[in-house]
Amino acid sequence: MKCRHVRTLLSPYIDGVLPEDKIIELEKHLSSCDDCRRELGDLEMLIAKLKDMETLQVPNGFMEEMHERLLQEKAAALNDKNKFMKTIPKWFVATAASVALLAGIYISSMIPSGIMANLFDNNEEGNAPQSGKLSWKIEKFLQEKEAQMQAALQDIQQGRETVPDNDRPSNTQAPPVVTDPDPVPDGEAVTDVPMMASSGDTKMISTVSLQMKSADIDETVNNITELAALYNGDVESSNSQLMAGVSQAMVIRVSPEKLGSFVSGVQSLGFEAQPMVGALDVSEDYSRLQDRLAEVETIIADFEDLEEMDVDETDKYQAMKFERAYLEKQLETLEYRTDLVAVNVTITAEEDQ
Amino acid sequence: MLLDKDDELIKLSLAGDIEAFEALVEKYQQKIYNLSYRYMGTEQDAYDMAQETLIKAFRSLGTFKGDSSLGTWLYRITTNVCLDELRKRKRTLHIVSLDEPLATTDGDEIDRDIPDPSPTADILYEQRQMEAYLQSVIATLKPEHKSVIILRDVMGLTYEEVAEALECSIGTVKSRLNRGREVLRKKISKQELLP
Repeated sequence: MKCRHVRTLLSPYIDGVLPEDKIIELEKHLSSCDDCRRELGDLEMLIAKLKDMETLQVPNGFMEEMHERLLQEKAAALNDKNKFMKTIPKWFVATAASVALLAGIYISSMIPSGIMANLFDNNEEGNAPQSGKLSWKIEKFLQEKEAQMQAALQDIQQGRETVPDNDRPSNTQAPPVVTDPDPVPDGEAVTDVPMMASSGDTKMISTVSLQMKSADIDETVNNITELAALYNGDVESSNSQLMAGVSQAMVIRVSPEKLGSFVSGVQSLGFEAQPMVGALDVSEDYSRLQDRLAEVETIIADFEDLEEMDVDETDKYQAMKFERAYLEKQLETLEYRTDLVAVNVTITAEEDQ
Repeated sequence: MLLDKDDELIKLSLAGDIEAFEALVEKYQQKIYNLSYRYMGTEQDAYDMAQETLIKAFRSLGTFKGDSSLGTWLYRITTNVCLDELRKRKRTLHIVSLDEPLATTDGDEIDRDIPDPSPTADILYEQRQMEAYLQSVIATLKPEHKSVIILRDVMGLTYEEVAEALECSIGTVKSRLNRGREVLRKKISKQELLP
């Protein structure tokens, strides 16, 4: 072992993190090399001196000043929120639900019943491997679900470009109902974004939409993502390949308490961003999910009543349990979303002048 | 791992409970203050940076996911706040790190032959002055070496904690520590502080 190599081992040796075999080699070298032994002694002494450096006491008044600053922080956060509320335009348009938000709702509410029917009724089983049939089915189910999501996204994307609001082609699902605009009387500032009552059969998601232009879409997306993290927002992005580089739609779900600060933050990124406030009625999505869940639960109960199941029945039973978990998750997600405000940001590329 | 009590206090702080956040501050303020002091070198700067760190922590507490301990998360913020401040000052004052090699015109790198500004030998024996001297030499290290030396050797963090606080691998901590200690030892042995 050469001295140069030994010097790189001294530090981990002192810290006790050198592997056993290296320790033996190192100690053998140290026993016959004065220079390396001296260097080890120097390093040990240095580390001991660093470790013994005095621990300072925090000066008096530190906590008091911290307390004052925290109060200021809290006040500033509230102030930000009020400032944002005053910027909401009078026209208070509720056509807020644009591409990303719709896509988000659709994806979350997509009911796999059609796919599940396909799974068992079609005649493609010949293509399936004989073993691991269930995992093959699940994989296929996921692939189809993915394809369906992509198709829905594309439909919505195209619908936005060519079809006026609420006048969608008959081959696509009806969009969630957007509530009527609730105009703010002239001269009055909006003091709060109304959290839509979600009770009984009515499930509403409050929305705020921001449109902005940016010279660098990716950077804006990053900035907004960071901002969302700061205010505990969940970020969802949806974009088709078609629109890549031209526009980016994001949905950030934030709690109503943090909405003001978050939107002020987005506006402070320096882009023109006029908020529009609205609400989405997702009751239909919710009840569809509930209905399908009830069906699935009945099927599962029927299976569980059987004395014994053949291979095919076991597969179906497992797949139903899989679907039940999926539906429960979707319902939970929708519930969760009704407690938050969906901030829908559409960023489009700044046109060349 | 996050202590349950910290967890509870974080939740309350996130809901805007200033007292809960202050309870967290009470627990970590001394370490944060001392860490700031080791980076900055003066008590006034340490005070300012520790305040800055804690306000930043309050603002971004929502991003703390509990992957590391709250302590190392706070040391990471402290390190970033202090290094940012030092960078700003360096830009203004054009200070050059003394262990930064000098690039020659033919692309090689050579060590700078600049004597460290240091107290004379007769005062090095006083404990306080020796500490001040050590502190002044630490201040001349590159940021990455400075951070590992302060976190590991002065503050006594484990390799894992240093890696978490600096968001790097344990291997990186090891190699930076190796190099940082070596540079520090060379600078100090010139002043006969070490035998």
